[in-house]
Amino acid sequence: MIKTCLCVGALALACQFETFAEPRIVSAGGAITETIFALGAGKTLVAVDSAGALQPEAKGLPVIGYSRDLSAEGVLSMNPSLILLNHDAGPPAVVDQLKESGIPLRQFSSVDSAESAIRRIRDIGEAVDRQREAEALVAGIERSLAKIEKRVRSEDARPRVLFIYTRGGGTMNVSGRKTAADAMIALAGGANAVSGYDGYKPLTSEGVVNAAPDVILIPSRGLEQSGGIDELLRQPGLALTPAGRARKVIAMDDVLLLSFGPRFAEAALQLNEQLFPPAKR
Amino acid sequence: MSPGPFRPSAVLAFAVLSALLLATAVCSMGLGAVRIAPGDILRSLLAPETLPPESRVSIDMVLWQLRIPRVLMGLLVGATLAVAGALMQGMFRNPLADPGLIGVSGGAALGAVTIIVFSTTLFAGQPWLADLRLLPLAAFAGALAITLLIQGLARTDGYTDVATLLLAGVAVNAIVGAVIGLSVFLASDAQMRTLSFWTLGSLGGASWKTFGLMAPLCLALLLAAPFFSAALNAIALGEAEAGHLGFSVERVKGILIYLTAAGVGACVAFTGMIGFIGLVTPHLIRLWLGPDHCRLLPASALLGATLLIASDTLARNIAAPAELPIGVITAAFGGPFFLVMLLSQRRRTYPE
Amino acid sequence: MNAPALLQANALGYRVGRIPLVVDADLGLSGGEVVAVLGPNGAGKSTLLKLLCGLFAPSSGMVRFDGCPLAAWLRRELAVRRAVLPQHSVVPFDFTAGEIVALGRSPHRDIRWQRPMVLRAMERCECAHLAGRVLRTLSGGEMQRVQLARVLVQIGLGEGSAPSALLLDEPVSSLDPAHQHAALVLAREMAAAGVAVFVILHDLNLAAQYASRIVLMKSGRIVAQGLPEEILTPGMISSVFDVQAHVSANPLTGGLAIFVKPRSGNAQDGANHSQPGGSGGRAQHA
Repeated sequence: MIKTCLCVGALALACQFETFAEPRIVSAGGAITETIFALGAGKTLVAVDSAGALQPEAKGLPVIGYSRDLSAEGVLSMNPSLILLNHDAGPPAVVDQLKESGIPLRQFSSVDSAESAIRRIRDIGEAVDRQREAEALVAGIERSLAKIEKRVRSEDARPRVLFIYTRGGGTMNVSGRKTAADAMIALAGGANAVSGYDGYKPLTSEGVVNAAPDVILIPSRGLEQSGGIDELLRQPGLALTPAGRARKVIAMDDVLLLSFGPRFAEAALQLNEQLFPPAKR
Repeated sequence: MSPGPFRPSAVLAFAVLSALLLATAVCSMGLGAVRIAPGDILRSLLAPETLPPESRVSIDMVLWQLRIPRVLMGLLVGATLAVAGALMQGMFRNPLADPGLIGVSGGAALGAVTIIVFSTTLFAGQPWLADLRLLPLAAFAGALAITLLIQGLARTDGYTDVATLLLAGVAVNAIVGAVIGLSVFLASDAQMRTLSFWTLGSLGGASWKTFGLMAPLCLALLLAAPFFSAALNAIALGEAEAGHLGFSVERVKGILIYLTAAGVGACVAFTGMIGFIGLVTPHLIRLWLGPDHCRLLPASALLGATLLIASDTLARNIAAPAELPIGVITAAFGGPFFLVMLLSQRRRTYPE
Repeated sequence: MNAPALLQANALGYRVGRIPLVVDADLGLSGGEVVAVLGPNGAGKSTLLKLLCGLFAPSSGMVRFDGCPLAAWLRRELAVRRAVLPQHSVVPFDFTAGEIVALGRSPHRDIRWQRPMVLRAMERCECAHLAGRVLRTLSGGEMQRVQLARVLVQIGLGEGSAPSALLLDEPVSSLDPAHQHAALVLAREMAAAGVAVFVILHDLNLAAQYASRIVLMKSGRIVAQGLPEEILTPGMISSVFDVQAHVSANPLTGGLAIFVKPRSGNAQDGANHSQPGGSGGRAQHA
């Protein structure tokens, strides 16, 4: 009896110590959370934002809400030792409050290229004390990027890619320049079929015909919800493009494709392989 | 005696309302995602040096930097919205009026949209314009500008025609709606979410600084309002009648519009759009204490503050550690409650 | 009249655009008299009242109250001595009748202390039993009596030291005969207390019975004013109201009794003794 009591007491004491010794990280940002898991530091996470909660490993962790609409007290209630925020975490007043709380906080700047994505992985590695793991991850990324470069160099043509962003439900947006999709297409050796504007614009039949894409890239969830390739090509104009006539539609997970997280090079390689299928060569 | 509405004594009513507000405020300080024992709250308030040394998140910090400013801001915003609602209903002689009619909300939304959406789309070269920190300033400026525009449109020969004011408000709000629609067309998904959170309101940005910024404008409205209760009672008889009773109706209307635009503009700028408080609170008070503005205005201030603090407490705690938009709470609880009160009132006034 | 009138209008004119609504009206109103304004619809009676109370600014001429132009008066000081009863008013929100009457004290800033006066006024207007009722739930006539009590309270029931004036726009339009007479008796009592009463009426017999002076209006002009016996002649009535008129003695009061019938369609109307509502002319039975 006494023995068990002592055991329980010791255990409780140990737990107490652990909570003080172990880092407790709150992460607001899908890519940040994914990177933390990729670096093997998932156990240090005590709460994630709604985007991070999409990670299967994050199941069961408390969710602090949408990263642009955080609550200072909610974050603090997780008793964090480190707060990691996406570049767009907010509202600004809440970020200020969190900074004033005195708890170590790091906000990462936005990532839109391979270089900045690699830099963020190294930064996160440093923040969660997994530098070695970060270097290993970066080495893998660089290998994938080299593979892509090699393949692209052997090709003359750069296929024109039209990225259609849709989550189903009718609205379809096409990415212009200065978007994550534009960067990924370039990374994978394609050319964005749209160069007339920055950001996203709704799809129009004439715009699509004008863009004359060789390939259509679309989030796999969006393609499913639009009713598959046949249904998609029924969108006005799409069937008239080279991509539509050849039925060249690539569907990829949009989080993987657009988040510039730890697997972005994998995604780029995947896209690259589909843009330059081996059969063609 | 003749059957008529029962009017409770004012002293009793104000005692009840004040006690309710105090109790709500204390509960709100005690409840939140960070658990703080009631004893620790008292110690933090009275003798902070006796608090145990904290691990990482200090009770003192949560209480003094997050909760207390937030409760005070809720008090100020709730009181301001409720009093502004009562003022507008009295001025327009319409129980459904709210500050939105004179363009305050539409204007603020316009300012907010400009910062959230257009600044990145249209002024891509000036990233400083896209800073969400500018949002309160833009929202406040928008609220004032649109209110002045609508009032200017309704004013001819020094006379503000209430009917024209309402119609001009509808027209200008429609134009503002079109601009907001355009922004929705241009906005990215992330911007849309920010915008929709803004339209549902939140006290999450509360700090001593924001409290200090909005307090003068809100207090101006709250402290000036009682001086207009006699005039508003007279306006209930009709604008001409109020004039015959010796009130400068034009001046009263002008001052009330500016005060409301500034006070509500400041609230909306820092908390986003919080619906229902301004509409429901004066109604509840009228059902209970009658329409006399001498009681209605201060009682609305107390009840509005209580309701908003209570809603915010729910918003903070229901989904902790995340937070619900407060507009969801005010509408979800305010709507049905309002309906019940209305129906029971109708039964009382028109017995079968 | 020799003594300067309390409310004096000189060469008063009012036009909207190019349409004249009141032309060249001269009128004096002194304490102690009940002046009834009569005239067909659109004659400018209400417009004249709105000019006299300062709601409309005259296009020409001037209105003086107690010797001072209306515009020179402080609104509140004027309101203490001059009350206006509009034709109809809709009151939003659930004010009780008592609360509405008490509002009459707002220019005096003593609403809370004048409960007895409020009650007295309501008793005199026979609406004291309605004091606790919500005004919106009252009948038209009840509301009219409550509003009358309000304007009485505003001028302190005529008991103040400074002379006051009461401008009433059709105060009896919704009242039953008993209350019509009661209201006008009250007007006479106010006048007896020194109040100048200006009242727009449609009923020629009521005017004949209670007015100390009659003002007859047509097409924006004052066509005649004077004692009821001088003004309410068959010829004057028929020319102003476009009806046939007969004037005889009222067997109950000994005053005037006025009978009218439309100018055309005699045979038909004579046959069935109906009372067709003509423009401003209606068969009047005392």
